[in-house]
Amino acid sequence: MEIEWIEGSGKGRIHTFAVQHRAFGGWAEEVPFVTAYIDLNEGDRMATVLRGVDPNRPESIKIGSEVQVEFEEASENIHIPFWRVVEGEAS
Amino acid sequence: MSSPLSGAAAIVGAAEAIEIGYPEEPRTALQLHIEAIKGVSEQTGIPISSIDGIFSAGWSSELAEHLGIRPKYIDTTSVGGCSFEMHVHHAMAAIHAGIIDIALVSHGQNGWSARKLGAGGPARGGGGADSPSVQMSAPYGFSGAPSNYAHAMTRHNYKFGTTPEDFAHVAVVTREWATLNPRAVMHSKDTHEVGGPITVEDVNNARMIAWPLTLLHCCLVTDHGGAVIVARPEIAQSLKTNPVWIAGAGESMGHSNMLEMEDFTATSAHASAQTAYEMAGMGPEDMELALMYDSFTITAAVTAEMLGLAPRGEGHRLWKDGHAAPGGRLPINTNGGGLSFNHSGMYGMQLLIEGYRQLSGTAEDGINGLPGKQTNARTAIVNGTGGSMSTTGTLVLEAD
Repeated sequence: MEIEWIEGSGKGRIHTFAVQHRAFGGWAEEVPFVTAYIDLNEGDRMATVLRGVDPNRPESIKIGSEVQVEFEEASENIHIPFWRVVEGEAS
Repeated sequence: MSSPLSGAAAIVGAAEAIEIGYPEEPRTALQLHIEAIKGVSEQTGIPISSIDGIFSAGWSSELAEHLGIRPKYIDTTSVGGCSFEMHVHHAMAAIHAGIIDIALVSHGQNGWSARKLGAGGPARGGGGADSPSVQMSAPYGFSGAPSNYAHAMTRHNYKFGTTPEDFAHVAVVTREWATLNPRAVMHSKDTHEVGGPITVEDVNNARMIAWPLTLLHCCLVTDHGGAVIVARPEIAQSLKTNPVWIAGAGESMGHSNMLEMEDFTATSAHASAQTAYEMAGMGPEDMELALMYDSFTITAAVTAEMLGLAPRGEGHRLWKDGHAAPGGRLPINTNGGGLSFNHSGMYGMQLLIEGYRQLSGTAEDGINGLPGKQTNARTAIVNGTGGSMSTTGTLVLEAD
C-alpha cells in the first residue's frame, strides 16, 4: 500500500464531546475540561481537548460546530494539535 | 435448532467465589478464580481432574497449573468484558469438533481489592501506552471507560433526541432488580450505605464523572470470581444439575480504540446477535429474558437496540416504560446488573452465571421477581461488550 503525506486544511467539525470531571496525571488539575472527537474535513477523526468552549455550560456546545486546529509546543520535538471552536456556539 | 452447532453443548453449572463485591479482607484474583471453580465442581459433581478444556481471559495456564490439570484445549481470549461469552462459543465449537468433552470457563478479578493490594488482574492484550491508537487519545486526558462512553451518550442524544434522563431509568430499574438479590452490592442499606432503591432524581443529581454521565450512570468496581462448566450433551444429561442449552452463539467487533468507531450509537452486538439468532433459529421476539452489558446506562440501552429488542434510538424505553422491570414483559439484568449487583472490570461472567441460574431454575425463588428474582424464563439472550463499545459476544440460551 502506498502511503503519502498530504497537507490537511486544519478544519473540521465536532462529532461528539464530553466534559471530563475526573482525570489522572497532569490532566487531574485541569478538570473540568471538554474532550471531543473531531471529524476532519479530509474524512478522518481525531480526539482532542476542545478549546473556546465553557465546560460548565455543556449545553452551549453544539455537535457539528466548525473547529480549527492549533498546535501547542510540548517540547522541542513534539507539537500537540488541539482544536478550537470557531463558530456555532449558541447562547 | 437450525445449525449443527446449536445445542452441541450445554452450560451445566455456574458458581461464584464465596465473597464478592467489596470484601473486608482483600482478595487476590487467583483466590476468586479457585473458589468459584471449586464451587462449580461440587455443584455439578464433575471432578476438576476431568476438565479437559480451559478458557479464561489471560489466566488459563496459571489456572491449569494450580488445578493440577493438563488440558487438551487452552484458550486465553482476552478482549474485555465479553471474553466469557466468546469462551462459551469457543468451548462449544471445541466440543462439537470432538476435541474436548468438558470445558471450564473461569473468571477472577479483584477490581476492588486490587486498590488495596496494589495489583490488578491481567492486562488486556493491546490498548496499552505502546498502542498507536492510544497515543492519539491518551495525551488529551481520556481517563478510562467513563471518559470515552460519555461521548457515546452525547452522540445518541444528538442523533435520536434522547436525554441523559432517559438513560437514568436504566439505572433506576436495574437497582430495583438489585434490591431482590441479596448478593448485590447495592441490595439495601444493609449491604451498602447508599444501597437500596434510587430515583431518576438521584441519578441526575449524583456526582458528575464525565458529562453527561453522573456516578449512577456508571457501573460498580468490585471483586468477582465466577466459573461455569460447558459439557457435551451426553454428559450434560447425566449430571445432578439442570443443563442450559447453548442454542446460538456469535461474536464480532467494530474497532479497538473508540477513534475508529464509525457510529458512536451502534456496536457490533448487532452482528454477533445476528449470528447467534440464526444459529438458534430464533429471533428477538422469542427471548423471554435479556442479560446485557451495563458498564454504563448508555451501553445497555444501545445494546438493547443492537439485539433487536427495541427500535433504533428507543432502547431506553424498555426501562423507562417498565418492560425491563420486575413483572415486566421482558426482564432485563435480573441480577441487578453491573450497575448495582457487581462489576469487577470485566462483567461477562456475571451475565453467564445469571443466565444459567434463571434458565436452570436455580435463581432465588419467586415469580417475575416477586418476592425473589426467579423469572421462569425459558429463553435468554446474553450479550457481553468489551473495551470501548468494541468487541461483543452474544449467546442465545435455552432451558432444558
